[in-house]
Amino acid sequence: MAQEHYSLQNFQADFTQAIVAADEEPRLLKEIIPAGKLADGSAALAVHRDGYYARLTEALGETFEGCWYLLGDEDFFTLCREYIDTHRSTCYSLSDYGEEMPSFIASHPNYQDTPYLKDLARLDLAFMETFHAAPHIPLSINAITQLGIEQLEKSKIVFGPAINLLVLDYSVLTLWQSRTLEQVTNSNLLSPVEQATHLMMYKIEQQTYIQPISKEQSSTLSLLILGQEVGAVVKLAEDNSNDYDLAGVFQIIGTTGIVTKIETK
Amino acid sequence: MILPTNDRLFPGVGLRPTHYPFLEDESSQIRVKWFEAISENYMDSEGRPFQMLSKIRRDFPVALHGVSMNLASTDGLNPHYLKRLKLLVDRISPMIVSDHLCWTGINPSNIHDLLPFPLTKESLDVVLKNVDQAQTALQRQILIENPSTYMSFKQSEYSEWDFLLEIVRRSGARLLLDINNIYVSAKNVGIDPWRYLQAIPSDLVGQVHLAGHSNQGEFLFDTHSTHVHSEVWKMFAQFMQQNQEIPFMVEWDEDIPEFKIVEDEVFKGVEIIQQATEIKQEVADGTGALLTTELSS
Repeated sequence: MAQEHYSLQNFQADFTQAIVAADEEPRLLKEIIPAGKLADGSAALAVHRDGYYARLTEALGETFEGCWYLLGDEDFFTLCREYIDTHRSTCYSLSDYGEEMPSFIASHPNYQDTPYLKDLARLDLAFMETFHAAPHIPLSINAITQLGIEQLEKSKIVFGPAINLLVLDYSVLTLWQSRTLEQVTNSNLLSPVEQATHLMMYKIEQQTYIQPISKEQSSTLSLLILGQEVGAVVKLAEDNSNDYDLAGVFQIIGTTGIVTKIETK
Repeated sequence: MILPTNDRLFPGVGLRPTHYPFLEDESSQIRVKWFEAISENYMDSEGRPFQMLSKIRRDFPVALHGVSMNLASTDGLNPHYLKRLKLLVDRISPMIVSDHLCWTGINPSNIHDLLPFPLTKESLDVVLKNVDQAQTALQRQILIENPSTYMSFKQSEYSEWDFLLEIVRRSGARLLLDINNIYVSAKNVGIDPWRYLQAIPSDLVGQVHLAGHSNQGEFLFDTHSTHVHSEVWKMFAQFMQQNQEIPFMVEWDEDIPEFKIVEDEVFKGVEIIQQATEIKQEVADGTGALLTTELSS
């Protein structure tokens, strides 16, 4: 009896299942001639399966430094393994892998005792995003103040593309910043408290900075980043002075260099 | 006796983030003539990696080497990937754009590996169609690299070299000949690496890769983690005698040493070509027969 044609498409589907789900179709195993002294097709497939886990784990390790720091090697590698088993990579760049890690951690039964781990993951992701964002040439504060109030109110402020506003549920910034230290001297850092934390991450030249901001500053900055005219934001701030902090935002603009351009009508 | 000068030879190395500080601070000490960058590391980054690539490109020719084009995919190539790669190509004006004879996943997943497949007429048609899609989208010729393999397939109807040669002859692409991969694959699947090498006409080769591999006991593994194996150097010497102007480079991706060590490694290639040429000349002069036998093993 003639053997059924094993199409390339079926071969690739079977091969994929063998790598990502350790599900080895007999027709695939029968087809493989293992290299060297590898025992059989299964052993040859394991070379690629091991490589798959190793590459994705390495990519997650590069992105989620803060989570790795908190969990230690064993727990972090377990987390990676579970994430890889449930999240196939669909991106061509390994550095983009892991964007669902914060929600994965948030719903993971093992991490309900460390609810701030998801916030560390969010900081890790934001840091990577900022790292890959384009740098900008900061506009000097003089260029902004020279405009005069009337003209400024008719303007839109253009921020550098690397600016990233974050709202976290826990006070994890100090813990996250200590991820590059060999040893944490203050053990209190390991238990961040539940407290809404507003942060601004940005980049000047190739250096990434992060600073806590108030909720009101965050709300005001969000509107400006979205392209609202300064005048409209001024009006909103006047009508809702408890919710917005325009003066504080201009102080941040003046000291950080996050603005790249003023677009005036 | 005419020895090849360094001007004719074209040694390069891979551009790796580990070396960015050295390349920024000690650029006057760089001896290689070109760099190869992994395309995917720069396609979606405007940050430090891209700034570094742009800086290097101002002073050196650059080749873009991909690992995710997915040339043997039955789903065709990802148009978004090609669009991003074309943007990078337009910005960098690379001397070479290359990827591998492999597939990397079925739509929409990416396994991030250079996966093998049976070398059949069906596969040949798939790869030819994809190479055409790539060259049309990029509006330029691409180079295709022979991969390292850890298995072969009963269905295969071609040797790897015949398959590759058929692809490049019919598509207008050229070969990126990885001599370490030839050695690793040949040893793994039990064929003579010299036979493979001798089947490759140098006029179809646009670039040469060298790297170190690891012996895992059961098989050779293309780890790019160490110095180039002595047998691979011998094969390199033999091949480069056909065309010394082919750009060649060393890939080092694990346990990456300082830049100078990687650079020294590729300059071993320069010395080897020069020695081989000297020996060839001595043979022509009737004085160096013994040494020639050693080189061609």
